[in-house]
Amino acid sequence: MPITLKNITKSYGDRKILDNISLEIPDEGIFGIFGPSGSGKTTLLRILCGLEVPDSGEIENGKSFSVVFQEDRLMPSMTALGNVAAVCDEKKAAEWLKKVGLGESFNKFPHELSGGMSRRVAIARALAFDADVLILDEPFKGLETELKESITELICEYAQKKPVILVTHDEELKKLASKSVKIMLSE
Amino acid sequence: MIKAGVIVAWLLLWQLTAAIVDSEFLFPSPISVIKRLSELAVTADFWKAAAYSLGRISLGCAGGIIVGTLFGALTAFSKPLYEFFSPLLVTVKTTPVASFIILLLVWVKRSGIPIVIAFLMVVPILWSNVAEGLRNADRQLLEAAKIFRFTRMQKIKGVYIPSVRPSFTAGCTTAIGFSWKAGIAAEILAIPPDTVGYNLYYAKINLEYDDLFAWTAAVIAMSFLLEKAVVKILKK
Repeated sequence: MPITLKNITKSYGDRKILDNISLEIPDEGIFGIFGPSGSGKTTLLRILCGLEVPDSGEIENGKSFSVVFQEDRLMPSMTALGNVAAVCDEKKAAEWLKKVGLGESFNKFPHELSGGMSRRVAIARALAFDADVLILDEPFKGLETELKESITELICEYAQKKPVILVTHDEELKKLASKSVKIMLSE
Repeated sequence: MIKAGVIVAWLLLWQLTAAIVDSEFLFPSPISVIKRLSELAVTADFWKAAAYSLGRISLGCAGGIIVGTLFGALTAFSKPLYEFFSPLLVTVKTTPVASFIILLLVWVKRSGIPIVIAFLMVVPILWSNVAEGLRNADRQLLEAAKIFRFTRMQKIKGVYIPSVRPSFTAGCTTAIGFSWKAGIAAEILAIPPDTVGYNLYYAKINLEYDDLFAWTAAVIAMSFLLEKAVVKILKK
């Protein structure tokens, strides 16, 4: 069943971020949400996965979400393996870390990882978590260029089984979206 | 190396001041204090007093750390509980130590006073620090924990413990210093026998200023070593 948003409005103080947004997100493939910075894409994602409550409007949802946030948001006291194993069993966590090229870094803590490595742990965690929908908010932010291709493959593979919602400014990544919506800046 | 140089510089300054004052009775030199301390350190009474004071003050301090941490955790997320307990917190924080000691002289056995005083000094420090550390837990990590459906234990281990650790460590360090100052003050006023405070009191009565300085140096050393040991344990 698709996710339906009807007349969603959200403001922070006097600033209107989302103004009467309505859209239907299909329950298969990669759905892109594009638009200029500050247009409310991240706010929309946060409303979708329940981290924000809209000021008005309706959401027909009931799904669980896995998220790659703009920030890595790794637990500082947990190793790379611990961070991924926090959302699935350890065997599956180890497999996902290997898939993102971190087979040698299981026992490293976030402060011991480079920016790109932390990003890959965050991606592995989101892919390993058994949710209905995967949300990717600028997933390639800080990622090593040479690894973008292999991570893109993993995302496409995932999208064959479950729907993916993608927010990005990366032109290459935008091409993956089978359907998309463009959100404009509110007046 | 720099630290050792600073200590030597201050010892030299102390020596110079003692030379200017030129009265071992009023202002003993570091050499005579070290000499007196080394004389005391070979007596069984010195170690007995040090052990009693260390034991009692540490007991009060440890109790305060445990209770303060529990109250901090309990009141961090509950405004009604915080409002209920905050008058108690403010009262304990602002009441002069001497008032507590005088009151306790009536209520508690003399030997127990340093324990209670150390406890009372430590509780508000840990209470505030732990509550603040928990309230300032990283919101982004809490959101991630919500999305990935962390269990309560995962949330505590992954978000809250890293968040509270710096303020808890800082609280413990401050608490140890405060508990020693207040605990020794309590011993001086309550004069429980065979304690550092008891010896300080009689050094003052008998105008033995080299003893006073030597016992004070022993207190500083014990407090310093205890603080270092606790910080080392907490950093593990």
